[in-house]
Amino acid sequence: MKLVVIGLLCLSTSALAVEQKWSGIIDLSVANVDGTQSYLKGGLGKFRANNGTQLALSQFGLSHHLELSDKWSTKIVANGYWDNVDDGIGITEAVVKYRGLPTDSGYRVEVQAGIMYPNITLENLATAWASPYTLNYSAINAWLAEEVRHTGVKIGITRLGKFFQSPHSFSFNVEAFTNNDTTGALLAWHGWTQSSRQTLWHETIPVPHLPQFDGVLKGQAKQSDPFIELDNRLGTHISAQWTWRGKGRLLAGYYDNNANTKIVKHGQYAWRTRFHHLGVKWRLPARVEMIAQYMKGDTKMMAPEGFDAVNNDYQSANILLSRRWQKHTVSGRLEHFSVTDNDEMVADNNNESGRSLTLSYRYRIQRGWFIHTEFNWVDSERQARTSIGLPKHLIERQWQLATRYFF
Amino acid sequence: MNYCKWLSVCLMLCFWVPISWANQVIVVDNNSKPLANMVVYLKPSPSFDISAYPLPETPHIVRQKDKQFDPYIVVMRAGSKVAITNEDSISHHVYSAAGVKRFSIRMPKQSKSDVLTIDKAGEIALGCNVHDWMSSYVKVVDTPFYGLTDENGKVNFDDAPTGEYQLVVWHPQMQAEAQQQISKITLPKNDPLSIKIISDILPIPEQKALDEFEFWESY
Repeated sequence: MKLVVIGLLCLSTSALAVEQKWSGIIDLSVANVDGTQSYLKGGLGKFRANNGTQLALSQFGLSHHLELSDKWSTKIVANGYWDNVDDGIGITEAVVKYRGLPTDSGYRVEVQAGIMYPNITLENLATAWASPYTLNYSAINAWLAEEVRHTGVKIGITRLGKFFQSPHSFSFNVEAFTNNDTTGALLAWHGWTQSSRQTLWHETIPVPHLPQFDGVLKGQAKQSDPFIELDNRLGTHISAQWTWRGKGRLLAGYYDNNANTKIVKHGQYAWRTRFHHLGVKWRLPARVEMIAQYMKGDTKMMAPEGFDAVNNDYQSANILLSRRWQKHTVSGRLEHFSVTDNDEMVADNNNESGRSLTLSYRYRIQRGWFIHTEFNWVDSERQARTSIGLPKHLIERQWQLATRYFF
Repeated sequence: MNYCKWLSVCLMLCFWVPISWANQVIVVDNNSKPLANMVVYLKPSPSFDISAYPLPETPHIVRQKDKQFDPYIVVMRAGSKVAITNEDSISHHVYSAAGVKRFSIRMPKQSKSDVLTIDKAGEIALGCNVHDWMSSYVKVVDTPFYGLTDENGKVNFDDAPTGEYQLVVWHPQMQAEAQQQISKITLPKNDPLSIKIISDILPIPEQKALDEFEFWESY
């Protein structure tokens, strides 16, 4: 016993004042798509890959963490993509964080400032915002990845259950943010997607090559800049979370980018985008993990003449079940999504309704190294497809085989 | 040769006779099932001179391994020492935010804390500010007569001298005031003393993340 104690005491005492850490993900994949041209190329395809078979470095994510003190830290996340569809490398997140110690009454304050995602996803919480469950993100998370990010400040307070002899903890977060004024544009014009591409902070995304952008919407820039600030107004996101230790957590929130729709600069229009979200992650019997998310909101963009050029409602819901057997993990996700076009602009029809199925299998070769294969099926109706010679009703399929290395 | 053989058999038989430990306490629940890992200590009368019993010199160790504290409960005497180790390949941030000793120690991977001397009796609830599910308790007692019950609910106080004591049973999940139950006993006891805990003992919280995947980031 004494030897064990002496051995443990021989551990290094290198308590450095500043500690840094790198983590990352390398995702190399082959994808076969039976669909149509990707939304990333100005098409109306739901996947990030075009038709046919493609080899890609689907994600090279690198995350740098710097512990400045007990309470202060920084995190910068960069991502690179080489897929012959939309290659790019750049920053996706950069934050300074303060995480206080719990008070003696069991409350902890956290503050985060910088380029960040709103606190919504329950799946994409691994290194560089990857999802461990599936290669493709859910429609909700794919939208967050594409255009729901911002520069902001988040303040959160958590009531830690263990200080109250309780398994229940509660958190409440308030975010105020800028650089999000076009959020909603891409969801309106190409609809929901099933992708794994995060827009880099410096990037712009093509609006679909549809006739209205040479007609009634010709004032719109050909590339939408999701992280631009146009009106100098703050948006807000409030969220609350209940965690039941060992069982699961429930997250609900309301987001409003508070954009002034009278503003347009260089073809970038300010979109007023608001939504509610509700998510649950729960351990079911037989060690089945369940994640379900629901989002419902609206978005509005105004023509310079003062009428609503776009006025959409949108919603999406999904449920994912995942089960691990030793080195094998099987996940399946069902989703529904829709966009309802409420405006009078007949030439710009954003109506969409669809459902999707994702079946994913992950095999752990060794710590951090996985083989991952996945089937994606998206069945959707979108009237706008007919304007570029595609059927309104389209079923798109994708097979993916990937090797992913987390470090 | 034969004589030696018979002698050893006789000696072995002697040791096989069930031994009744002096001053043994057995802690059981309402259904008379033994309760393991319960802190049991004997508080002597104020006039008792505990300085005759030297403090242990070796520090108690609380390990952080596989993102869990181990052990979950440590009991030690006021004035003795404790150190915390991080045997994981990731950083931890151990804190005690309430109780008799408050501290915050950021611990890089494969490191150990300074040795801490705990002078006051009471409780220290350890947590990790990175991994909220991690928890551990250090119960500090002002007596040299303390122990944790084994899997049969038993703990022995062989070196406690004759006299009257307050017997305290403590557990962080005991649903009683101050998480303890107190009774009076007089030593020595030739037969084991059974102590029935009237209050419920909630299950020890699982020290495990909700997510099984190893590469979560702090979002």
